[in-house]
Amino acid sequence: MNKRALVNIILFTIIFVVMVLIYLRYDAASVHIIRAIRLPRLVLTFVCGFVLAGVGYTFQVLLDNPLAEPYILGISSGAAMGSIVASVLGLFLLMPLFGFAGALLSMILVWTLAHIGGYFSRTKLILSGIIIGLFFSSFISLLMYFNQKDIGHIINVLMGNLGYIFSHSEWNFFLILIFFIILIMIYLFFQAIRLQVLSTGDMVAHSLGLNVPALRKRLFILCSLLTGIVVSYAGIIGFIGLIVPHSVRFLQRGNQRINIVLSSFAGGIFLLFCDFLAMHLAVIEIPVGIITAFLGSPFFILLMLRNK
Amino acid sequence: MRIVYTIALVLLAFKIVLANPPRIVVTSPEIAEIVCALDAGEFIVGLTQECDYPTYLEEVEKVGSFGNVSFEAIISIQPTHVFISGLEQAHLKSKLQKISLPVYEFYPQSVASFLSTIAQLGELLNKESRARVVQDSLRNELAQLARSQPANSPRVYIEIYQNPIMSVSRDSFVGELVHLAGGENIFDSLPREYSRISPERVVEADPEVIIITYPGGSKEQMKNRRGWEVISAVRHERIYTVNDIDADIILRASPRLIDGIKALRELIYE
Repeated sequence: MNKRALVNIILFTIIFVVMVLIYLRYDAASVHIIRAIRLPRLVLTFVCGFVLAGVGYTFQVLLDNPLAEPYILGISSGAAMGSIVASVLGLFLLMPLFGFAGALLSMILVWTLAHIGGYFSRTKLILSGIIIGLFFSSFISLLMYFNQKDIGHIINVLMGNLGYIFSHSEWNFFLILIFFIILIMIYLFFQAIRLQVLSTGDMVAHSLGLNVPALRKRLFILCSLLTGIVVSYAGIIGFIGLIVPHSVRFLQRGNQRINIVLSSFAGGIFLLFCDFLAMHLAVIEIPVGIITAFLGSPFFILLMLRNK
Repeated sequence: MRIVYTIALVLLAFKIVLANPPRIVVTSPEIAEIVCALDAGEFIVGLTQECDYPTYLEEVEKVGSFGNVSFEAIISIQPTHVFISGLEQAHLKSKLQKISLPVYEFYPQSVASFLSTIAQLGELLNKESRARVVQDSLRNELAQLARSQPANSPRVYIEIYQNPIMSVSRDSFVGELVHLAGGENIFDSLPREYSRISPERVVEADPEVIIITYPGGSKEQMKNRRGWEVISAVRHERIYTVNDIDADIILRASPRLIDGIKALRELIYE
């Protein structure tokens, strides 16, 4: 680990601490509120940003596509549809479960579709993801049309909402979930080296001893599971998985190994910032997906121009 | 000769007006209730599904639902008057006007505008005297309720939507009813009548009574919300759902608002 990496780690840690303090102490509230309401929200936000950035980084390498992000493979639409179906049926407590089921369904569909014809290619995977994503999006539109009174719930899922109100049992369950998320993320971090090898191309990777199909499948499944969890609790929050990994790569300039760790860390911090803006920018809370889109769109354009 | 024609025309018009009773299509449940209170319920020939009170309206032909009104159904009924609500139904006005259907928009958001809506409808349906009777009776009952109001005002939190949680301000109809019932709405001043709110604000405001107006809301769910256990209403289990009060009588600007205020008062001062 060289000097630049060390500097970035220290920098991010400082920003993290500052952001946490601002998030918790802004608009002074009682200790009870900070502990029982703000802190869970902070944890949910950080975990979501952490996961989205980490998965984004993984997908960008896995698909060898700088524009890849967690939602490109249709998993988010599936998870969103699951959550929306639950809310339309009035089963609000089951939204995370239904969302996760939707993610699993779309994951299976995308993977199967990508392997049709007997062969696999990265392009096919992306195309399958887009197709399945579109399919679920149309289904969501249909639900929106026939359930006008549930429009608020649906918009919540589609535009992102980190204000999930936990019951005591739901919070305990979420803590267990975080434990598994951390385990999976650690696994992803260790795969980072293999990921780099994979990015040199399937043939080369294989000749270097890497079991390409197995690794790809494993990573796809794990990333889909993680994305499914995030969307189930927080709805669709775009651009984090896209812009944070690129920004970190830009800051790091070539120190590959810890890029994914730094991306995840930065993702958590950035989403904390966006959620803070979402809560306090206007008189009423703006869905956080709108904030990330406003911040992310100019960046996206910049990225496209640079990659010409 | 011209005089003969004119007289004939006038007589014909007279005959048409006398012979043809109004055919009314109503797309808003509260307007339907007002029309029935004005003894003009028999003239309603088209309703949306949500118009369920008075119960005899169930037999009237349906023209879709509140959020999804069927334009074609309205046309096929050939109404003489179409009464629509505001908000999502406002776009219907221009559509119907294009085919020269007389459409009137009513969206009473306060008790005062509700009372003037009664007068306006009375005028349109030639039921002015009946409208005055209804208005006077309502005004009397409101005055009586105001006189018998207890001195204290418990803090009330009204939750109208679950995900995200939303409440009402003083400018909303149900907010005003809660005030008339004697409660102090903790979200009296919101930027809009119906607005998204933060759970932190609810805990801070510490309401003594919580009223959930959407179906499916349960007392247990609210009690289990992390961080909400310190709220007075939760500690003393003063949480009321649609099982304790009919949401229609407090959410609709209809003559039943008197029952609504009385029901609210019972819950607030239990």
